[in-house]
Amino acid sequence: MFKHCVVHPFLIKEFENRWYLIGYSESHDAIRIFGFDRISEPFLTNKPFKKMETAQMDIYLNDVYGVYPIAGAKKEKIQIEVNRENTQYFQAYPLHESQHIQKHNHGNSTITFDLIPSYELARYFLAQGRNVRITSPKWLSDFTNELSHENR
Amino acid sequence: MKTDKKTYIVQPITGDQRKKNPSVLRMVLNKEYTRIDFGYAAPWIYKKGGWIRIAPYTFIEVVGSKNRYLLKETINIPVAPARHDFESKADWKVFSLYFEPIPIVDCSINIIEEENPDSKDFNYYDIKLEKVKDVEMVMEIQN
Repeated sequence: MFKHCVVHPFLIKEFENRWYLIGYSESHDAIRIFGFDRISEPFLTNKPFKKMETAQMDIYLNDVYGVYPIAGAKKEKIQIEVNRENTQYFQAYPLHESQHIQKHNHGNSTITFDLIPSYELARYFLAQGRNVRITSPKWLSDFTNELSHENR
Repeated sequence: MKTDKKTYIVQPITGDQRKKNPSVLRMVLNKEYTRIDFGYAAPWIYKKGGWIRIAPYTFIEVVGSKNRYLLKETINIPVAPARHDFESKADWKVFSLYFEPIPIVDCSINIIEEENPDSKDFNYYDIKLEKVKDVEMVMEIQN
């Protein structure tokens, strides 16, 4: 539950009114995300800062909806089928700048995003119930279905 | 006289004791004090998470020399007989114990709350401090 981590921070990000620190964790030897509400008494040390590539930062800043990418996920085209009511909602409140809506005759739509699939994205789709169906990639659809079983 | 005011941060090697509750998170060492930070999760066995406190005679013992360094101050945990009652099983606490300063060298220590402990006492044995002078604290960041 508790861990002491030496972190080389490179980004802070806000999502749904919560702030997160993103950085390289020596303890995990990987990039990790830490909720500010779970960080206790940080110290600044004399350890040399491990610089991150700008491109690496951009991924977390621009290509992830939310903060927690699904392990191993890469940026890809995500496609969902959306009913008429929710299409209007996506039009009014775009989920991401890469969002593209292709409307069909009955008002329903196919919406695509270029994103790294994240837990928050999967949960968002899940929360839309039958109004949204993930059509591609299939693994994300399966992942989201599994998530719904876990939440029961 | 030139004094060493440097403060060092060590992540002790606790082996299986890392799974203990409270778990030892890190140690802060300088010539004025030795601070140990712990994390404690309220156990599930108690209806409202039980309670926590620390004995006033808790000490650090350096393995080998057997020198003892007494508890001076605590942060975020009451000293017995006072205690902190949790409100739920999901509660947790990060707390710090300040002791007399131990030597700033690589060594092994015991943290002893009770010399004849039962299962409720926080005793830790043979915690290894390595590369003690590798990480120096530049400043404390206020949350």
